[in-house]
Amino acid sequence: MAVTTAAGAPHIPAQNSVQKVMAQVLVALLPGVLAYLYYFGIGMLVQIVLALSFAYLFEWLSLLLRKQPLRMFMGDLSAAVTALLFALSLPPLAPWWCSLIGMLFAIVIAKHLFGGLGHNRFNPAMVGLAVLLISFPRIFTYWTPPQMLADTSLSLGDVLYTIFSSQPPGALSWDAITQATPLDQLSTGAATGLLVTEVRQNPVFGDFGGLGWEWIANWYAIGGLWLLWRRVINWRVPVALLLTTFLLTTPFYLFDPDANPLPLQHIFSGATVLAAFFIATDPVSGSATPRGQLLFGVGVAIIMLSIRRWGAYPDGVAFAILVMNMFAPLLDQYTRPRVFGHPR
Amino acid sequence: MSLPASMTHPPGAYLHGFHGGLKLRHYKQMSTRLGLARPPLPAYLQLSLLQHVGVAAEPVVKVGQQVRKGELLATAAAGLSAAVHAPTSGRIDAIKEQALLRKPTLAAAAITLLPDGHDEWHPDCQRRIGNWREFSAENILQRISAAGIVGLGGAVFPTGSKLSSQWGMPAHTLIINGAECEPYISCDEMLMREHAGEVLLGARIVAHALGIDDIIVAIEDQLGALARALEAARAQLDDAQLRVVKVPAVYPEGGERQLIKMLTGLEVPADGFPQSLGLACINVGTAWAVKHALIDREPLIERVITVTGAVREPRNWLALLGTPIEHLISHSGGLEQDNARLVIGGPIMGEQVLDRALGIDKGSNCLLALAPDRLRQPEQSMPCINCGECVRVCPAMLLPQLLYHGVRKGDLGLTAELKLPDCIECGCCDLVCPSHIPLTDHFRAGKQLLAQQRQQQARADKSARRHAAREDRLQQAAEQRAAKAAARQARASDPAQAQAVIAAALARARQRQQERDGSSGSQAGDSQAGDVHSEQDSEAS
Repeated sequence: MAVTTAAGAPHIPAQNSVQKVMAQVLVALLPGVLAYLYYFGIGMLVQIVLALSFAYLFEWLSLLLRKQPLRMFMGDLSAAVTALLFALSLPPLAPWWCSLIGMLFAIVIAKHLFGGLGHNRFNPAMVGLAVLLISFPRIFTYWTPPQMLADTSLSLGDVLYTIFSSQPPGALSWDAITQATPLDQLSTGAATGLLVTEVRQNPVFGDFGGLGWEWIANWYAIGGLWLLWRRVINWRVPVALLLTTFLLTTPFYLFDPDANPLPLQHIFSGATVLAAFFIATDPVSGSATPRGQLLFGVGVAIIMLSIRRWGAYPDGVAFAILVMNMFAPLLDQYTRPRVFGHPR
Repeated sequence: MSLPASMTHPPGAYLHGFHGGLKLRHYKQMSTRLGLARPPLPAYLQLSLLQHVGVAAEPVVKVGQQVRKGELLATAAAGLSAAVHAPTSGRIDAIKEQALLRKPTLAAAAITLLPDGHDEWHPDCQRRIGNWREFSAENILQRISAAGIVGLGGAVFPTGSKLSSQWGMPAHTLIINGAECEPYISCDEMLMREHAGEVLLGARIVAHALGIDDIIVAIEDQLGALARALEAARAQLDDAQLRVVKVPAVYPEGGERQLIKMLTGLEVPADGFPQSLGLACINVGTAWAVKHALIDREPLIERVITVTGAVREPRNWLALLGTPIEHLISHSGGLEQDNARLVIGGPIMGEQVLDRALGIDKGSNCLLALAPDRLRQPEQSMPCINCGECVRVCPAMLLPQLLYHGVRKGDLGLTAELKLPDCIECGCCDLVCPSHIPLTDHFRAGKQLLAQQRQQQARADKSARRHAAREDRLQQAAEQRAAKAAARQARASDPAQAQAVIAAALARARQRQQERDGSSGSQAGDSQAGDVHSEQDSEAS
């Protein structure tokens, strides 16, 4: 009998794969993407295509330079998830180079310079977004109103023209085709001393959050619940994040409803739900321990609300997540679970 | 029987669950269609002398010697060990070093026995030995040890030693572990189906030896027919304090600690044994072997082994220990695919068979042939994405992904801090890892490194202690010498002391002189001494 080294147990294969995990995340984002398209038009689709193209260009180049197996890593779909989350955070009419810069920082710097898949300290999509938020804040005023409120409807040609020329189409001005987001309005409203109830008179607001936005959030949540059910993500981060958001804003609202928005407003506007189910749940840059994940969610919510309330940015999800990414190793260190058979 | 304070309910009254684990697809029915049978006698039997945890048994037979069935071949060595007996009558053909079947990296002496075909029992065996109810606990445990019985669930810990180890509190419940949780394995199920009475009787004997009344037989909940068979056997034995408890089929429930957690809600302390909770836990097959040892006076010479997977006639064999793997395969219809991988044990924790000429041992519960398309591919694994699935399924409640990084970095301190030695190597983490990282391989390697480090540390500590002790000793000796010298010095420099010494010496001399001379001629000496004395006195004053 030939002497061979024994294959280690277990002998049967794992059922899961990185590719399957990422594919499910993409599928779970689909309802939200479709809702987004419905409310905000074709611009979002262009952003997604741009982000995906740049993401895979940079992924390919990075893998080539790092001499990594191309087939294995190009197929893992992680770059697609990064690109999609990034694109969904961009205004639909953002210029094309936003994706270029964003994906350069996300894929090359945040991901591959740190060692590639599984080694990034920070959420790549949020790194790309944060770079743009800090360097080109004006872009984030290029939000179009939901289509039912838009004065002018933009054709695909108009959208492409705007994105690639960074100019409004035809004789239109930026003011004519864009509108401040609900969170922008709350932020400026608070700065100018308007009551929340007055700000909310604006038709851009819906029942809880922004018109359209709240429904997109709902569809994100449905995708997120599906991921929970599929056990792709666990409940800790989303529950901690959403519950903290709700519990922290409720007393303020009850105490002074004129100055503080409805708790549900915070949940259903901006990127709160997207972050809760899809971004803060990124395992690589998050905490590994159960209690660490709860604290991670709580931390993201607190920082996000602080930025919304006192910061210079209307949303703050990206920064909240990046800050908590920094704390993830510390959380892992101090929230180790008890081991079976050992006292607490 | 009174329960310890930590148990609010009797074990098994409620099911408690345990952390992690996996619900797996089972392939047990495959091997339970045919009943238990004995394969024909093989051409040779190969019996390792290290079929158990501990030290290899010491052979008491010589090459060429004729032995009869049940005769002692090797006696338990000092320390943790177990005897080996002849499974059939025949001639000892060889005693030589052989790799272990279930631990191919280790080797131990093995006896090759050529059966003579008569299958003739040794006269000491198969004799009534009286009523076991009248035996003392020591007697029963001693007979269990003498029969070479070890944990037949696969752990192969010598049962006599296990049951006579220290109890943390009064024993109250005996758990018979019939929760066979690895897919494919059905040997315990078949044994209980066909010999339920013997299993329960063996269990009662063990309980009797431990002074225990309550017995729980734990089986997986999908085995309804088996539960009924056990109930029937229980009724026949009229054993009212024996209960059959069905537990959910979650891998690795057959693990003693997991099963105890499930039945009692309590965790066996990491550095303790079930005894710390007043529990004893033995496998179904072990109970069956105890019955044979105590009732039929037969040592452990055969066991049930499931031969299944990619063989043409999967089934359970009642096979003699030492039966060659090849023999079992060919009598199970042969392999469906020649390139199937043979595994001894289950698909998750089993060991690949490298040599089909080796004989099965006491821990061989299953011989599994896995077709190549059922195997884990030795593909390149992807980096860990920290998804946390391994944390969710780890029954030891470890953080496998952090442990993996620790082992990879060679950071043994971190792995010890994260309690790597508590890993039970169940393989759950491997089965859920999306990156297909061979985590358990890493943990086995890490545990080995840690153990080596601890050994080295222990050796270093020991020599450090020896060194320190030597230093102490030398220092003490030096101090004693110094103290003596100082005392001498002090005596010499202190006139009063010196005078006293001199006076004492003179007194002794005088006495000797007096004894020698009698009374005459001693005056002069006396007066001289007195003079010296008085002079010194005056000087001192």
